[in-house]
Amino acid sequence: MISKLEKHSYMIGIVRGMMRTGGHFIKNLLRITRVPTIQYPEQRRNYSNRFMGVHILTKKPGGDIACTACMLCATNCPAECIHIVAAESANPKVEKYPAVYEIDLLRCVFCGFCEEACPVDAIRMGRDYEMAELSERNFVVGIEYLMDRPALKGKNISLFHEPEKIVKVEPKQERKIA
Amino acid sequence: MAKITINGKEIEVPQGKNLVDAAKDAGVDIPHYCYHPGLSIAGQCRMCLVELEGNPKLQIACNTKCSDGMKVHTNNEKVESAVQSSLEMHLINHPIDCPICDQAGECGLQNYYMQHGKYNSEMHEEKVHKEKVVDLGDHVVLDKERCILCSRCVRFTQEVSKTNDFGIFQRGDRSTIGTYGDAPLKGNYQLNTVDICPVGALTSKDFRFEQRVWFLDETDSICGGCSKGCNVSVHHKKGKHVYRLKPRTNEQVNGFWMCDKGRYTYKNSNYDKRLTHAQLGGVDLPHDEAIASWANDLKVLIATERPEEVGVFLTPHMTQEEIGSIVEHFAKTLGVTKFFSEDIEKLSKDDKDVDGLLLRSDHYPNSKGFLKLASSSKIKIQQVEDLVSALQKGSISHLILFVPEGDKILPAMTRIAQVTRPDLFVVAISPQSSAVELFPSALTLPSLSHYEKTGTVINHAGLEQKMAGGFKMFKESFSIQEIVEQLKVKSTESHQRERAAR
Repeated sequence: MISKLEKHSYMIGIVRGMMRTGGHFIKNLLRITRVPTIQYPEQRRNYSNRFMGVHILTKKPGGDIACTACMLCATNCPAECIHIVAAESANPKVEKYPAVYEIDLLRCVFCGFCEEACPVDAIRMGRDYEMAELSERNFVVGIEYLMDRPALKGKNISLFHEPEKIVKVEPKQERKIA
Repeated sequence: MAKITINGKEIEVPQGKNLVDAAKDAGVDIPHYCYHPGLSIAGQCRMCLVELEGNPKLQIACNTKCSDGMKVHTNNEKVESAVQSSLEMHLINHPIDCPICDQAGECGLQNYYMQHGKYNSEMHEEKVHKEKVVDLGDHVVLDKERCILCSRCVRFTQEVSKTNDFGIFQRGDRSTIGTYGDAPLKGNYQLNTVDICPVGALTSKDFRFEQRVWFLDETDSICGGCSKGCNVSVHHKKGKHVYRLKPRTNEQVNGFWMCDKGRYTYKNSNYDKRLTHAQLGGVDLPHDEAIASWANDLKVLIATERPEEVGVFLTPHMTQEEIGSIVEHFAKTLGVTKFFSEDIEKLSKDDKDVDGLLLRSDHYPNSKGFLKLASSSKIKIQQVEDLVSALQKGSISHLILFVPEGDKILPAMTRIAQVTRPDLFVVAISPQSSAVELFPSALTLPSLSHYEKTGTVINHAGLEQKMAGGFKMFKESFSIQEIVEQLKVKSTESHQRERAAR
């Protein structure tokens, strides 16, 4: 036989849970603690410098695409989301260039391996993270978006072609243990 | 036989065998660029330096013949530093444009650099620049900067293709490879120079920038271009698109080479030319329904004992297994007697070398096997003209066409299509759409292309060779054995259904 007390023992848990909820409610209401909620989109969170968002394809100073279609990014990509069709360039000094460069942002895992594989700094991880589209196929983005989207303001020049801009950072000295 | 010792390991090799080959058989890789087993010895690249005990200086392995008691070292410090220096010299003026080079991934320089590279350059001088993207005719592109002057292509055009296209011009570090007067390459064996080029100096125009080689899978097969039966490996990406053919070494058949005509036969496998779905009168229908409607029409003829009204057209562009399954089902089970083809006996009898090297005049890969099967199963194969007259007389009411890939069948198919009445029941089974389109009201079934097939073909000399195949580019295309099997199943199914209805 279960006693009446045992039967209603779940009430203890409920009361404790409600106290926790009510406690937070009162704390937030009276602003006793810092509230983690922000007023997006007026307010925005600051992401770290290492944050990896939508990719950027860089340009040469003249405005041509810096990518040479070597497909190392596609080879290194664990999600197989990069699709490149190489073609013969009209410019005799260039030889090979990507006629099609597409990234499927829904397949991409934003690991940044493409950036690491690139020998000419042609692809970088950008900082854009707001991605919303009405159709799935709109997430397959091409050169036009990756290289010339307005958010980049045309500043995406490949460091391979502007070596003077490379900043060498001395590695920080390791903290000595006394 | 001679006993030699390589790196302390004693092996037995034939007296006078080339040391590079002997070492390779023993599992020791001696690096080399200029040496090729199918060409003469040049001794240009100095990569294959080895130490022979008793010799004060290092010797090149490619010009050393194995003799009894020879003691060879390939991995000691002296050899390693010599090989490193040789490679360093090859790389002095090499542009290292691997990202845009088609050879990357199968390049001799890349491979040996990983093992024998001197990773820090000691050169302060500017590299010597030479011409890039030199057009050498329809098949080959030359990049003079990338060349390491191994002279394999020069020797190939002198010794094998006898076209004498290539030469080495200028002197010293300005030496370049090129053709006399920048003339385009001649002959039907140009792309072999691309295969033997150990670096990216000679690249194929057809394969240019198409795909990086490390994405490609290889499948062993037999070339379907002529009766020679050259051993090839089919390079495709995940079985979805075929990019190129490369010759496989077979001393009995093709040696190390293959012809350019054969190389382009892979194009018949790719999407733009293929039949992908079963169709009736140009409208797609499910494969099952297509087989069922074929089985129903065939069943009526067999049930009323009129198998002589069935005509079957087939060609030797099929494997032994495919022809066997057709003969087994149609001739033996159903009792069909009318088999038609082109004049294979004449083609096979007149088959001869076209250019004294590989290409032969018979364009079917399996004529010998076809004739062998026809005679062993006592089938009389009639000509295209016999089929035309039979169609005109109206003695055939069910025509089955096994149409091969390629354009060479088109004249025969056009001739048959001209005399085909629109109400005749025609089943056309083909990997390609071009010939099938001549029969607008036909029931068409997609079959596998040559390089997807698994089976046996018999070449002009009677040599049986296997094709590995095994990849399938389109879901609804089936091999002819499978199609015949599906037909059998459908006919028995409909029999059972009728019996149940009764």
